[in-house]
Amino acid sequence: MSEKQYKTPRPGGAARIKEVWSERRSRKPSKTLLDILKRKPDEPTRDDKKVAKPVEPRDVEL
Amino acid sequence: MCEVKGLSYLDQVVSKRSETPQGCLVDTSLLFALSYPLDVFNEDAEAAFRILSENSIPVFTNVNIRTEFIELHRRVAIPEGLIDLLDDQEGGLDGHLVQKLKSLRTRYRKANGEGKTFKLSDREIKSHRDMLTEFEGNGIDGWEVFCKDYLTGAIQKEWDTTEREWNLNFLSLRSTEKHPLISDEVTWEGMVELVEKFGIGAMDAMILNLFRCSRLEVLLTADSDLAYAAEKLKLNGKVVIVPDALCS
Repeated sequence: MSEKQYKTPRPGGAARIKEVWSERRSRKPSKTLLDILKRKPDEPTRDDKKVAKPVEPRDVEL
Repeated sequence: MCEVKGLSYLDQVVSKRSETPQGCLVDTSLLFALSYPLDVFNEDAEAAFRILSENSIPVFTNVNIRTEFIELHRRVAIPEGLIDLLDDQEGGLDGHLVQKLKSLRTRYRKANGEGKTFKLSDREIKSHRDMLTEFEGNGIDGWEVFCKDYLTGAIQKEWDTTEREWNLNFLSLRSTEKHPLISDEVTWEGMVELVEKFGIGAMDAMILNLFRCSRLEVLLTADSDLAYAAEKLKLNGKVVIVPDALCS
């Protein structure tokens, strides 16, 4: 070993790492985020946005 | 030539040498695998660290490895956050957004099913950012709030926990005093030489250059580029350990 003593891995480090990952996966969205991303009921859906085909002008006999 | 050996030889490498190795450099690929439970090499990384623990071998990392570690976690945490948002609030989200996130979730599940770590590319992250910035409220956009809810503090915690739980040592070259574990000067020219010689990425070359200029005898990696280049170098007395699955 060198003169300086360095830290060596300790057993059991994996358990806390898995907990941290689980904690991250358990995060919940804030109300602010949900308010921003929520579907707006008064906003037309994509289908609604489809514009009706223009009506062909009738031949009008004058 | 530098020896490249499978993980199953690590115990022999560290315990049967005439002198106990001074230390081991762990590269980003294996450190990430150690920190991410779904990574295909997670168990290999844990097994390697158990052996190093039993043999009291210190493990070193540096600023390049930490930078890459943070970047990999960003590329993993963003899609996972988006998928968690979908899983929690599918019914309350904008319909177009739900369709995009469902597509992301399908890819994520497929990758997991194949034992692969699902990471978004930088381009894909920008695309998802653009999608969420279209939503705004009270002067803040959806991406900003998403990052606050799902990322803030999370990636720092991944690093801190990995460093603390596995007792990593940080090899810093910034000090004016030469580090006792550095035998040769670590130079940019040395790094570029490795890029040019083997066509490896600059970050990989920095890590390999540090390894060859150090007194550390063992490099742990799951990066085949790094193992390939290390094998070609004349690094007497040094050994590269890779997961057995990568050992031809």
